[in-house]
Amino acid sequence: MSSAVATHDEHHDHGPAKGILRWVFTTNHKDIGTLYMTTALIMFLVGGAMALVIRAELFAPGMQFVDPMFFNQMTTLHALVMVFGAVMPAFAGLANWMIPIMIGAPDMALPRMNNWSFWLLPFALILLASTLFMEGGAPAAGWTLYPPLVLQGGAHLPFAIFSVHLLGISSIMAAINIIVTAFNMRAPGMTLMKMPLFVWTWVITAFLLIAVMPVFAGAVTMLLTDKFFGTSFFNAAGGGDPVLYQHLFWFFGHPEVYIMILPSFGVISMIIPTFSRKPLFGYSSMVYATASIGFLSFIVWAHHQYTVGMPLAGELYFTYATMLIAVPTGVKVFNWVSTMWKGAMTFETPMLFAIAFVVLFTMGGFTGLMMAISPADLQYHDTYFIVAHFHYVLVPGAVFALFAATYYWLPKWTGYMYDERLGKLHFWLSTISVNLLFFPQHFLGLAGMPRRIPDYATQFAEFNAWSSVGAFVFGFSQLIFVYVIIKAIRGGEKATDEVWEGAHEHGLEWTLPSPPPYHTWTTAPEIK
Amino acid sequence: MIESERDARPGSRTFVLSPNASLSGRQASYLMLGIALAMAIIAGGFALMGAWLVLPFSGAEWILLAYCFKLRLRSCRIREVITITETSVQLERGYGAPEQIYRFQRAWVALDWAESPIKGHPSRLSFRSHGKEIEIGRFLAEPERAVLASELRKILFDSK
Ligand code: HEM
Ligand SMILES: [Cu+2]
Repeated sequence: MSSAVATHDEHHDHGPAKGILRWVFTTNHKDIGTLYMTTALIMFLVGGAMALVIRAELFAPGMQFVDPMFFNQMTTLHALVMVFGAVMPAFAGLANWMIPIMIGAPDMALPRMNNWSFWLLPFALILLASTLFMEGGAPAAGWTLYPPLVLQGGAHLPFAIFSVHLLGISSIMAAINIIVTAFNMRAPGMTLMKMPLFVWTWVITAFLLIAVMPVFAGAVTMLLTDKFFGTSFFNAAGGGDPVLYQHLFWFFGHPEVYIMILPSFGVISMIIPTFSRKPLFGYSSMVYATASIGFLSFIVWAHHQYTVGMPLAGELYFTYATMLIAVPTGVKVFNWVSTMWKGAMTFETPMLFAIAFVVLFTMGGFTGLMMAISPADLQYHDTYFIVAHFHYVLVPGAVFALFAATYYWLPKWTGYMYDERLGKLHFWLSTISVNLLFFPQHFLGLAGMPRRIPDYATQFAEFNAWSSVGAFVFGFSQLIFVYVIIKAIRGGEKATDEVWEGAHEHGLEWTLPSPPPYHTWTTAPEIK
Repeated sequence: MIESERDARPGSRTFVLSPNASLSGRQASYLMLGIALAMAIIAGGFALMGAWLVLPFSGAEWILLAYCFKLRLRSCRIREVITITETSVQLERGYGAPEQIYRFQRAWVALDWAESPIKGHPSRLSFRSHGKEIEIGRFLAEPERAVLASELRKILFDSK
């Protein structure tokens, strides 16, 4: 044969396409990471605005701004937007940007699918938001979408559920991409036990996603068939059981909260060593602790349903199983503190957020232990104590970790240092106001104020007023964050490759230029 | 990765080029089996409780995951075999079996190695002969490509 076969793969793309189409068709992991994180930031502001509507109404007893139906739509949408539109996409964005860099891979394993998993997201979110304008309004049964209440809403149900399906498909595809990348694309020498903790925590998170998403998809589909096709999965009159929905939802829902927290653990485990100028204390125990938390998150779901009338053995089992999670979590907190112990610490903004994360997340963990005790939970259930607990875990937990990550890697992404003074201002305003916002809610809950209500008895007035003031200060402080990011994108002091003193010892990303080239590791890094 | 074999005849040589992959097919099978087991327990359990609609979603997801692994493992199976004899230079490329074969007359072949004009972008190594150009080692990491280029140059040009 004399060498006359046509070739098709000889083209070579050099750098990004120009204009808007670059972003539409991109398969580059950094572009997609940027898209994810930008979407997440916008959704964080949208979900935050909804929270402020709620807090404005709750500033004083009585009805002032919104009617109860709209109030419930706001609580539901706020939660769905924050969970599926802000926190999860933000971590997916971080994963896209950092995982290939951290393991020495040139890109994600399945770049085209990566593009799809991002673009499903805005469509799903727009669909979800569009229910606000439908007859009967948006879903208003809470983010758990419990039947029978959710089946009594207006036109929103099929749209909201379709949106949830799309969001699920999007995160499944992201999870698959992350798993395949981490397993198959590691540079020579990058063994599993050398992978940075952020990669590890994301791999475990991705397995959680894969395990629970079909359960959620099945559950909401059954809602749909119950409503429109005459089945009665959850309808007692037809032989079904509404509590079955609760089991399905929380089998998904409990791991879901860990899906929002495990990558935070990873981020914090990268930042604390850098600013303590010490290697992470107990790397392998961190990996095992994360895996244990991931596993345990599958066997504790019914602690959300202590009040439905479980058998005593069930209540006991779920109490003990839940409390068990404190052990690996304690290991993690211990290791973070030990990493700081006698370290040469400095307190740049990422480190401040990381320390606040450790302290405040631990507080959320303690209230979690309180609620794990089923007889005690009979008092806490569906009160503001729950709201206080999960917001301590999600806001100073997940969201602060995202702030920390953003400040930590922003100079790497943009090539410019951010404004440290404004960063610190953002930190202090956020940290003080978030406590003002959520700490009083513990007392409200203990005193018996129920959650998901637009009006309340006057004895709750004072703490609610504090909480609302905290919410508005927190909300507006985030504008500083947005400004700092925009400012760093537009220029300023040039960031070095290493950015943070000694950082090259804490991750491959610091050996690349800031910003890294469009195609990351065409040169396989050397892993020691 | 570059494996090279020296032939008995002087100036002859074979190179086998392959991309880096940190997961073997067997490991992937075990992983998929483990995931299938976990998903079967979860979806099966709920099916027994009456929520059988979880099953099709689990199944579809597992198939997607398996397909993605398969795609990825396939793209890692690409091989390029360069055989240099006294009179010819041959490049075979394919997944599992040679699917494209290019042959040049050794005396006429030239080796092009171009750095990308953009910093951090992959370089391009190719054979050129009679106005035709075939890129080689595109999936290699940069230092590997550099090694390949210098080895090829040594054999093709220095020995004359
Ligand atoms: C940023 C500041 C935030 C504020 C001021 C805020 C405020 C609120 C308020 C007032 C409620 C209603 C509580 C009730 O009446 O039961 C609520 C509910 C909720 N929020 Fe937030 N929130 C914030 C951030 C977040 C974040 C980041 C997440 C998740 C990642 C989140 C998840 C939820 C969830 C799951 C609910 C429960 C909704 C329901 O009852 O169905 N929130 N939030
Ligand atoms: Cu839970």
